Amino acid sequence: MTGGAGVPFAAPLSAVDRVEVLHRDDGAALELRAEKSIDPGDPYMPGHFPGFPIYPGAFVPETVLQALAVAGGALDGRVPRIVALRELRLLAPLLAGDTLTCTATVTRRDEPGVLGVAARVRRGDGRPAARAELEVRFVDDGAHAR
Amino acid sequence: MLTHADIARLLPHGHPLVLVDRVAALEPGESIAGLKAVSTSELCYAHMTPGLPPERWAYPTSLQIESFAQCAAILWFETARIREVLDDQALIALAVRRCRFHAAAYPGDVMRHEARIDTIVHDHLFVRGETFVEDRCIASVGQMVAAIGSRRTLRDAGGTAQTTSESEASHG
Repeated sequence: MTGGAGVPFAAPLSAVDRVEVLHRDDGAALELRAEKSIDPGDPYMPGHFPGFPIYPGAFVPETVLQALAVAGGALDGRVPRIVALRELRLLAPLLAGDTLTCTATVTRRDEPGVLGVAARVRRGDGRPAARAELEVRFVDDGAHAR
Repeated sequence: MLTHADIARLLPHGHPLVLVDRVAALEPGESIAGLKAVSTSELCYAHMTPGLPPERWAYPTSLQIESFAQCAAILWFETARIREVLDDQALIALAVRRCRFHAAAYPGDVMRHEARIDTIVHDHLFVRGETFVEDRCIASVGQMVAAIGSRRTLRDAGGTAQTTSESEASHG
C-alpha cells in the first residue's frame, strides 16, 4: 500500500498488511500475529533514510497499535491510544523488501479500559528485530475536551 | 537557536521524516528544547476523511517518539561537534523505556521536546525528557538509548547489531 493508512485515525502509514487472531479467550487474553512488508514507497519511508530505507524503530509500536485496532474489529465510538511504552528494544534493522512478523499477547490491566501488550517482531529470516511492551487505552471519541 | 536549515544538515533523515522544525535552546552535553508544529497537511492525516471525530486527529504517538528522538540526536551531534570527538558521527537507536503519554497533540499544537543527556557509558548515549504543548506536559520519556559511532563503523557493525544491543541490557 502506497497511499495513506488503513485505519480510521491519524497514522504515519499502513503498519500492518495482515492481522490474524491466533487465540482469543473470554477472560480478555488475545494473541495476534501481524505481517507488514517493508515498502520503500510507503509514506515517510523516503526520509528514513534517503537512498537507504529502513523501517523506523518508532514505527514498531505503530504496527502493534494497528494490529490491535484491526483485531478489535469496528472502532465505532472509540480509538486506541498508546498510553505507556514500558520498553522498546531494537535488535536488528528491518530493511526494505523484507516482511516483518509481529506476534503479540494482549491482556487486561488492573486499570479499566487499559490493555497490556507484549510484542515480538521478527524479520523474514526469523531473526529477532524488536521487542515491545506497551499499554493501550481505547479512548472514547467524545473524550476530546479542550 | 538552530534553524530548520541547520537541523536538515545535522540529521541523516530526509523529507518528510524530519520531525523537528526549530531548536529553541541547546546546551551541548546537557540539554535541548526542540519544537515541532503539528499540521493537518502532514502525511499522517492524508487518509483522514471529513466527519471523523476530533480524537482521531491525535498526532500519532509513533511520530511523537521519532520527533523526540531526533531532538536527542541533534543534542548529541552538537555535543560531538563541540567536543570534536567524531567527524563522521552516527547514532543507532537501541532502546526506549518508561514512557508515559498523558495527552495527545493535535493539529495546530506546537510540541516542545525537552531532552537531557543522563549519561554516556561505553559509547552508549542515555537521554530522558518530557514533551509539552504550551505549559502542559503531554509525555515523559524515561530513557532512550543509542549507540554512538562513526557512520562507517556502525555500518560495518550492522551485521552484529544484535550483539551490540544485547550487551546494552547490562547497562540499561
